Amino acid sequence: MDDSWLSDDDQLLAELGAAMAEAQQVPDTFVQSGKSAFTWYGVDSELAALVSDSAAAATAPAALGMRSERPVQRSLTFATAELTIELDVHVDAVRGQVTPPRSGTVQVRGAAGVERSVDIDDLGWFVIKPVPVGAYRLSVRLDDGPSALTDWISE
Amino acid sequence: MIQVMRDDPAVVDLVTRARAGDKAAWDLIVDRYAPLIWAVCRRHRLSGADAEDVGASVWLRLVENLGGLREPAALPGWLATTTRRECLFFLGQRDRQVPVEDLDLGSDSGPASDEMLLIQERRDALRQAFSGLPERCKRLLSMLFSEPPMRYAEISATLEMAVGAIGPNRQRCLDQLRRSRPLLNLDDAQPTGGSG
Repeated sequence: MDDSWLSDDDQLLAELGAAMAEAQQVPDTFVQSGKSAFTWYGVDSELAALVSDSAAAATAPAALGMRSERPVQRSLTFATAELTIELDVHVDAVRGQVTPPRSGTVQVRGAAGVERSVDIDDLGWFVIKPVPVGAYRLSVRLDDGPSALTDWISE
Repeated sequence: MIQVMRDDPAVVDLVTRARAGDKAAWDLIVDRYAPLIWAVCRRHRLSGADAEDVGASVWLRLVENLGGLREPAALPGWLATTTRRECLFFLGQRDRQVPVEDLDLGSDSGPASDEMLLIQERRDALRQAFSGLPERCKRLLSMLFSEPPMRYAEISATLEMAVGAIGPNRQRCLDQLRRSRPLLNLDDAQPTGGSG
């Protein structure tokens, strides 16, 4: 192995400069998405399974002619042994409620990691506005309580 | 095939801590190896959003495999190989009409890949070594390797250092870099030349 890059002052300085310049070329967003990937660590152990989905049923709310200012496009329910997540997908937002009702956080995760994070209020309600684009999963973490990761949700 | 098995205690420590759920340790791993993943992407002619997609996949794979990583010290090699695979997969998806085997991108075990990993490990060690230098050395060396390089008169004025002292200080700082743990570790692990 040629070690002149290390023994020669000029070569060492040039190599050091190249190493530092290379690191500076890496976009911040590239680094940030790597850091946010860690939020997936260990979450696969609490998968919330899809219990019901109005898109799979013939009697979706919209099909019954129910009209309101914010018609529900689709209703989904996910559950683990410890908690239930009910979602109503509207045109403008996804509105959800977690049972047992407790405050916490919901993260919207796309293929590349966490896209958004919203608070769950004391009654277990949360609003994701606007509706996520593309396929996503929700990671729910209740304060001092259980957490869950839903199956993938797509249109 | 050259095996680079640098037994870097810092990497082992970071992986161990990240396994235990330490987010700060994970962030340090990402800061340290993002340039390696980026460089592999660039080598496959991926940049911008494409490279970010690949990078995100690689980090997710590491999250999935963090607990099962058998040799934490071999993390750089694992990342380089995984990134190469993800690049090929990405290119295969994008250009379905072009069989992956027909893309001239080098293979996992080719000499070019090994050489690249060696260079990446060296640059990683250099960055680690640099970050451990005294602040005055960092400032001086940064001015010396900047592009375009700063003139001695300018360096002298900025650092309040006599022009005549710049040369000796440069040498002293580079010596300190050589004697630093990351570069000593790297030197120990490098295979010795075949011809002696």
